[in-house]
Amino acid sequence: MLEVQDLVCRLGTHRFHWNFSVPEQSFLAVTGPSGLGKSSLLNALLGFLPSESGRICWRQQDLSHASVAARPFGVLFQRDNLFEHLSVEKNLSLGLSPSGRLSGVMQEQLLEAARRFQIDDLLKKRAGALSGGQQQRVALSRVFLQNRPVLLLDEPFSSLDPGLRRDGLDWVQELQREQKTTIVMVTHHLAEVREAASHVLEGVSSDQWTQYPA
Amino acid sequence: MIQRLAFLPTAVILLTLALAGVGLILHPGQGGALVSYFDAWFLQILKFSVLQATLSAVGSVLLAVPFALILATRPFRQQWLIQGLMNLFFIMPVLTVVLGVVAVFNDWFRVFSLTGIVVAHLYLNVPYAIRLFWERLSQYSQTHAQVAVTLNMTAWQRFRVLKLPILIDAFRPIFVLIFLMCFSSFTVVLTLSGGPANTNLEVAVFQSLKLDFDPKGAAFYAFFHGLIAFLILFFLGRRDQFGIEFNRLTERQHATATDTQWLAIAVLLFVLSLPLFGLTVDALSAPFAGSSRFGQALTTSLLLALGSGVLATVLALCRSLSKQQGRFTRFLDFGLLVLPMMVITTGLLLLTLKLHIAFKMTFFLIIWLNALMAMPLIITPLQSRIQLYHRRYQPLAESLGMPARTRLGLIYLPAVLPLLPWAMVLSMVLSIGDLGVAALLGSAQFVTLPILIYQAMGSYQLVLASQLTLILLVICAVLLLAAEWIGGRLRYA
Amino acid sequence: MKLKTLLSLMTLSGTLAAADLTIYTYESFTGEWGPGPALEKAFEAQCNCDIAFVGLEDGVALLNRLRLEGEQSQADIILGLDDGLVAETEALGLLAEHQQSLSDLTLPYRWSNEYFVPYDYGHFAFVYDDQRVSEVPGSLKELVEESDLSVIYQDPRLSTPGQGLMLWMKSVFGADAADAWTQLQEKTVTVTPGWSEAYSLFLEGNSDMVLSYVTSPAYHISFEETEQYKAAEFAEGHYVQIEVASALKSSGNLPLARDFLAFLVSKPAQDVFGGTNWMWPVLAEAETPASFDKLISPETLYFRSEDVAANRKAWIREWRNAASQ
Repeated sequence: MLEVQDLVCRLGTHRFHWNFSVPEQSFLAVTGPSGLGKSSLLNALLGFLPSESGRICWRQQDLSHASVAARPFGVLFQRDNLFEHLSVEKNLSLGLSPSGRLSGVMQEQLLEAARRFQIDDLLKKRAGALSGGQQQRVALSRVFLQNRPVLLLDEPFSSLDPGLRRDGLDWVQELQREQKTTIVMVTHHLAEVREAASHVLEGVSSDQWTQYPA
Repeated sequence: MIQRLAFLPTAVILLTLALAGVGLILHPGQGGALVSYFDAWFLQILKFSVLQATLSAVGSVLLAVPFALILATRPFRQQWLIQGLMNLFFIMPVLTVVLGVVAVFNDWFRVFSLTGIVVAHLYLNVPYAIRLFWERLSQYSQTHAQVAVTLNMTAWQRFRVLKLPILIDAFRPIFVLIFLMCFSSFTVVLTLSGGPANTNLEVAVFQSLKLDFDPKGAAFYAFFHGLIAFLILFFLGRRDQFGIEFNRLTERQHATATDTQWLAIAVLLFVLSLPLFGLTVDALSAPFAGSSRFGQALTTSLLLALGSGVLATVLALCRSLSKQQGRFTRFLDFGLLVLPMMVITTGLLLLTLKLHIAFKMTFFLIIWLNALMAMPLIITPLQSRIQLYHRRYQPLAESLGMPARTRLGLIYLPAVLPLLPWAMVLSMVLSIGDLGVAALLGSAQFVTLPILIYQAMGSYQLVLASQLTLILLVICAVLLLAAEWIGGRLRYA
Repeated sequence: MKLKTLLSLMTLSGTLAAADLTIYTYESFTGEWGPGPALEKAFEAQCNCDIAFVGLEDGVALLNRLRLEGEQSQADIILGLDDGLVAETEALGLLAEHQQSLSDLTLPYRWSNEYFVPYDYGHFAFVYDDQRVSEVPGSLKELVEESDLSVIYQDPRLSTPGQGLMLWMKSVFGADAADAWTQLQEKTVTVTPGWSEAYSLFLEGNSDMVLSYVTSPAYHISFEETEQYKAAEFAEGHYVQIEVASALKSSGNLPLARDFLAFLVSKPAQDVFGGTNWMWPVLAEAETPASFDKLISPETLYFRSEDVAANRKAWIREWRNAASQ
């Protein structure tokens, strides 16, 4: 269970207040008008946005003071999910080992993931030289290799066309099933994820959010 | 670990200042009462110092911007050549520029005046300013440019939206840097002064330490030099981050420059090479007599330059990683530019003399001081690149839990890699031309190229001095062009 | 390979310490066009020892270095100060008596200093290009008051020729020097930090006259085979600069240091100065380049070194204020 208990954060003049919980292996869609703090929620969960009060708990453990890397989250931001100047292979290996140095076993894992996401012929290319759809698959396969219990997604596919958005969502669901991942996904298009989502967190104002089953 | 690395230059600079301070306290000279230095003369040189540096810096920036805008409209294949040459003018031996400016402009106006001083400073600094603005302008977002085109923006609107913010952001650090360099200008100010009426603080410091043997006077003038430098940094040194720059990673270099670009290049090369004309004519007026110590001088110069080039680059890189960009710490970006070099060199020399290590340390001191002098001149582009990558990739790196070493190797190093050859070679050639530090310390038994030139000039060998200067410039040009070429390769690899 | 060179460079102190005699001098003295190398060769052959020159910026830097190092100086000999700096250097109490008989030397004025050995001298002079200037002033007064020739000179606060002009002006105009400076300023193109800048600017045609030495034309005659550069002879006389050397009390090898001072005024050394330092040797029978025969030989003006030391600050201030107007 991921629990967010009366978490209060401030960003400029905004005051955010969140209170919700997500069962493990479920899919929470975070939605609401722009500017309410959907992305700020992810930043708060990750630890980029310091909290004033309240707690974030994962499996009953308080994460409020844990470092970013020590939290159970993998993440896909709106953009800059890949180091564009590095090769696809290097980007993937950073998912397996934060230092980017791989053992033989890891190397195998990497190749397998690359085949699975159909990017095995792109491994030597610079990430910045790929198309949007290819970049999406590289980012997803890195998240797959990271294999974190919770995956936070901040409209990562919003810049892609509907077909690729659909593909992205399929991959995410596959991750969820296979790695038993809990998903928290910020989205503008609730309709698109309605089927996939098990819960919805909808913002009314920055300090007022309601949670309901999808 | 990254912040510890970033602290290294802070420590080195503060240590240098502290050691120089200790050295000066040990100075045996006597000065007058402090109040005796506050006279009409002091006010006059204070006023003149600020005036000439302000005019020179404003002029440099105003002249540089239009050229940078034209040159940056789109990359072209020969740009490494132009960039290399720009740097060459920046490191030109001051006396060459002075003689050149006199030769070119003396018929048009009185060059031995404030105007002449400003013109010589423009020669030294406009190419450097163009290079810096160009570097920044060539990083604006290609996506934004495309958006602008699709929005049917006029040329003026595109300029306002895409380039003006970058120019404004780049303006202050470049202005401040050039102001500080002109503020501590010595040979230009003194040679073109026309008389003692046009004296600046740097010259006053030099004079105090020379025949007056008056460390108090030197410290007094140095204090006000530092104070004004600090005030400038305090009010103008702030860096705004608009965050709209992006590396045009995917863009390829166009085949050739546009007609406007060619025109700008032609004008620049013509005006800038005028002072070189006299030097070349002089140098070619007689066969090269050479010097038996030429090889030795060249080797020593290159070794010293290599040492300070590496040190300056490492220090600038470390400093660029620092998160400390506050009003009081930003003076560190400017290294030793904030104080007159003569004071620092004298202080350190004295300290090493007291410790009986002066001659053992000469080589290190030359490298050390030259590196600290070069650092502020290469730090601006490195810093802006590193911060660009930092802003862009910091969240991803954090979420992946990348350790410091990996971040250095995979994010920050690639960020600055295309600039490293430039930074390294520019700081090298700045030190190759160094005479001040080496001459003041006393060259035990080694001779550098500038010392050789200086010796030749002091012995009526003026033609030989011109020839050696020309050789020095050609060597610097080759190094700089190589650096730009390699840098361009790395950038568009 | 590089590392080896670097190491050998860094351990130069080693060769310095190993030298039997360390001589502080000014930079252009040590260059291959200066007298240094020839003197070194000749003396080393004679003494079977090793001497090392350390080149500093100029004569003033030399005095300052000595002041800074004091009794711990690495130098055995300090060479290249001029007579104007003698009193201040003596006052440091660091010098050893030279114990030489200097009676057979030919000097512009009587020399009776027990610490300093004079080795060459030259009168300051305004040098002009006779292709360009026809009406040459016959006196300093005429140059300052009547002539409309433009001049370049060196900063008296920084350079020895500049000092020389200041003393020259003072010895000719005395109490009226301030007015004379103001008048001269009207003809002054610029004031440079050192001799090289001034002379280069002059050769490029930026002024009619430049402050230099009586001996300057000799270089042009010898090496460029042109007599167009001439020194103007002034009726009041010319201020003189005598270059001197002294051994230091702290020297570990005082007898050898004194040998070197004796060598400096011996014929083999004196033969060197004319053609390398472009100054007059102090030994009448010493050889000089043929071009020296064509030089003017003006009357001598000079101040006692004690008077220079006592008044320098005031005189510099007088120049500064008068020339700033």
